Amino acid sequence: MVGERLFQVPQQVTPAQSGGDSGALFGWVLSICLAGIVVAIVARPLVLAEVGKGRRKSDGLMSEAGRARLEGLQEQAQAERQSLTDLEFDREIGIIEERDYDEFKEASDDKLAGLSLRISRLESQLQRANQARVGIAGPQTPKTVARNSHSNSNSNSLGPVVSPGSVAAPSPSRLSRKGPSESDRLHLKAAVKEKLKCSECATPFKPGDRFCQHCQAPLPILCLNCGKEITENDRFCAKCGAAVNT
Amino acid sequence: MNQIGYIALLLGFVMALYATLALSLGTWQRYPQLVKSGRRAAWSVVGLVGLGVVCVQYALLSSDFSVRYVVEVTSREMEWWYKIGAMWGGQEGSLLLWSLILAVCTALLLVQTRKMQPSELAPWIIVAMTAGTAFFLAMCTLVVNVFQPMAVVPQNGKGLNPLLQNPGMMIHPPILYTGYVTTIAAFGFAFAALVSGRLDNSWVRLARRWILTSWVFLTVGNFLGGQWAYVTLGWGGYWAWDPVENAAIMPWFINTALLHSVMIQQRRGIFKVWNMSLAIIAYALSLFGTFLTRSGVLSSVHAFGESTLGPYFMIWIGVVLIVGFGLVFMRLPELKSENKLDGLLSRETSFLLNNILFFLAVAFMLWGTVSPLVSQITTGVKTEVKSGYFVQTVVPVLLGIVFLMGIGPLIAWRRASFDSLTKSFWIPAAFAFAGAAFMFAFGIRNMIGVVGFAIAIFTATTVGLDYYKGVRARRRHTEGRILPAVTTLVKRNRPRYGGLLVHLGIVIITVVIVASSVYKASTIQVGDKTFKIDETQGVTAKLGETMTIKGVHEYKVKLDRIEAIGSPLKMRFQAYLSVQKDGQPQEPLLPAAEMYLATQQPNTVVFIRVDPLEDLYISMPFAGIEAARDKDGNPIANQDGKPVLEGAAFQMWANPLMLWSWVGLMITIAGLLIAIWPDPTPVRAPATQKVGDKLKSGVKEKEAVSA
Repeated sequence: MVGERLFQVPQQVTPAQSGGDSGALFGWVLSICLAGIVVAIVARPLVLAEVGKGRRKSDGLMSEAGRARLEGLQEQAQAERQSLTDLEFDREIGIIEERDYDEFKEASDDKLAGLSLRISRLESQLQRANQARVGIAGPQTPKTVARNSHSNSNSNSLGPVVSPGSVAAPSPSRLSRKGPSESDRLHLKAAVKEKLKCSECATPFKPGDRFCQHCQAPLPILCLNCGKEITENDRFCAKCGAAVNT
Repeated sequence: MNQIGYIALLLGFVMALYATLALSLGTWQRYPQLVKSGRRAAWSVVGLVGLGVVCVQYALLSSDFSVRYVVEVTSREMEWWYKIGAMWGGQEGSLLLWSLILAVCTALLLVQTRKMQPSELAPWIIVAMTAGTAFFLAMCTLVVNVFQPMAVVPQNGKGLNPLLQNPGMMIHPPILYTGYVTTIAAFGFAFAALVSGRLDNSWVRLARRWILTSWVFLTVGNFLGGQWAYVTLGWGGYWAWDPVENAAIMPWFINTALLHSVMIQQRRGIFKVWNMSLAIIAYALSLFGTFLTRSGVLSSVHAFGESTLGPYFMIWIGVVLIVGFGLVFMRLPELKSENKLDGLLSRETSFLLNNILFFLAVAFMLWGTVSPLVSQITTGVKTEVKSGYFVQTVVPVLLGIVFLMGIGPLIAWRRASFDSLTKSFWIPAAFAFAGAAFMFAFGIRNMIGVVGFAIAIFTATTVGLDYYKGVRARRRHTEGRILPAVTTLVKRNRPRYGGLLVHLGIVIITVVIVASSVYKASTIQVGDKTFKIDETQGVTAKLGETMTIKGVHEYKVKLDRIEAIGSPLKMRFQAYLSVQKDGQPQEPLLPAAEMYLATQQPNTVVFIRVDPLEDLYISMPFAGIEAARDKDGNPIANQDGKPVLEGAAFQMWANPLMLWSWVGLMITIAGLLIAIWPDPTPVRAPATQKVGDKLKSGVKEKEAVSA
């Protein structure tokens, strides 16, 4: 039945209304022209660039998975910030107990700090991976980098959506240059928690640092994904299997 | 034009199919040119469906009776606006309207996904849309054909069903269909997340506006449908638990549940599987509603009659469910919750409970709707489900949901204590009990009525209290000024305070529903006799007789005269009834009955006297008109050749508070606009941007040095 319908193109049965055979012919010609135009527009990208040649090279599984993971972490951080905002609001209108507020605030702060840390690590990791690729393929290789550069002014390492007044997590470079803000403190707190301290002077350090910023002592190289100590010759972390881009 | 229209739709179907395949293959195998071609094909579908609709409209407006559909739904005498609306007055045209709305949504999504982050979702969203469009275009080109020609061209068409010749016809179907269609967009985001593996909260964040859009269109569509039934059908009500009505409200319930549970995912990273499932079910239920209207499997005032479309729709619903839940099943390990519920008493659990209740309501409605079918298949006898089943099962659940609407906003996120609950809810509870006691004291003993009003008072009070607490807190920052406190409060948390207004609107509509269901006056006194109008086909009144109905006011309605007015399109019997409200004379009531001559279809023209406290609703069924007859039983005609009329049967009700349903709707829409209004937040930066910018600046520095 479907097949029959396919060819059941309306026929004009009254010459007086349809303009006769010439009208029908005109309709057919217009329809064919229409079909031709549509097919030409749709097929143009395929004709201009051969499909095989146009195939996009993968940015590397590490890079793509890393980017997805980074965005996932950013979403989590955004959710946690929203949770914190709600918590503050609930406190403001007096529907949450003070002890619950303190408990959840601390938990959220810790979680946010942990997320900031993981995001910073992953960003550094991606940066190094991109640098390595640019070194080989030139500056235009990572398309995702050039795209959306108009929103640079809002580039916040943490958030997919940066709400005004929200606590922005510092980038590693900001941490070292500026004084200890609230978020820096959280950042360092998490670092201390994870025992990222210089073995010589106990100054906290960030993953990726080679030398202590206080005593210049060499620091252990850590997996940027899980924090396990690794050596310069390792290509993959023995604990989590992440690629080592040092 | 008809050839062009048909070819455009057929080509649209081919292009939609091509876009689905090209985008899937191009994304999967990383062919950007194929993806680009697929997106162009999707754009071409938008244009082709638009062209097809233009051709149909041309045929309808120019009364081209060489097309069967035009003959079925229009006539030369019809007003031009009803000719436009006639496109969705029949099976084939309504499918085309679906396709058109789908195409428009596809166009909007093509724009939205152009620079969307995460970019992995973009092609799969369009795949979901074009696959849906391909299905509907296949239905309206290959299974039924809106351009099907007539073998013999008649001089005039049959005209649109008289019930459809109403302003509601122009608005209600497109709005309801838009509500249905936009559920596909939400499904598209869920589908894209499942296929691409981007299972974080990004799909929820991006789909939220579409879920809200779908919700508002389904709300307004269902509301207008009820209003249309109220002013057109003449039985004094607006909701009859008709299968198609049930099918239209079920996606609304699921969408409402989804709207609430995505808020939890956005904050706590939980309910991921649940949200995916709700998005899939909402789309499947939208298709189910369309299936019920078009398959002819159930009898309904909304159905288009028997057709061959049913099996195709069943298959498509099956495909959507299997693909959707199959993907959810495959991704189950990745859909693990990021957090756990911190406490049993929390806003999260109240939302969870609300979701369960919505689901329960849908389960009851679905069973009540399909059980006649099930019984026919299993026993061979089609059993009928009475409205009492729905009242006993669905209404208590809905009252529970309204109660939770009051609880939710004033219970803390993550964990609440009994102390804080007592502090938050003693005032609303006191108001609710006082309201119930007040009603009881004034003789209102109907349990559903008393409980319904008490719950409405409770919820409305919590909304007021929530605003009060927020404003009180903000006044500390605005030097005690109230207006800036209100505006900053709402601006700071649009979704919350917009949502609270939506709750208030729904509470008002709930009050109207309870009042008009429980306290509807339907006892009419004529002379010494008393009639219950719901048990009769109408109360007969002779010329000069007076009918009395007592609701909040007492109305005395006297039949003065009935006139027969002829026209080429229809015969109209116009009644003139003088009325006194509490002894005060009012403007006359003017109900009428019509007979459409071409189709011999009767139509009732209802008359409603609107009042803030209650509507006086009167209708005059065509069959109840009494003409004077001679000894042989033949109608007596006057000098003009028109029948001499001596009485008619009337149906009359006093429906309390009906006008307030519009107020509720307006508040709901206003709240939704506040909630949906975009915040002036910065554009989201892609994850790699910072890295990329650093990289670019690094490269530039190097270039500068080398130069």
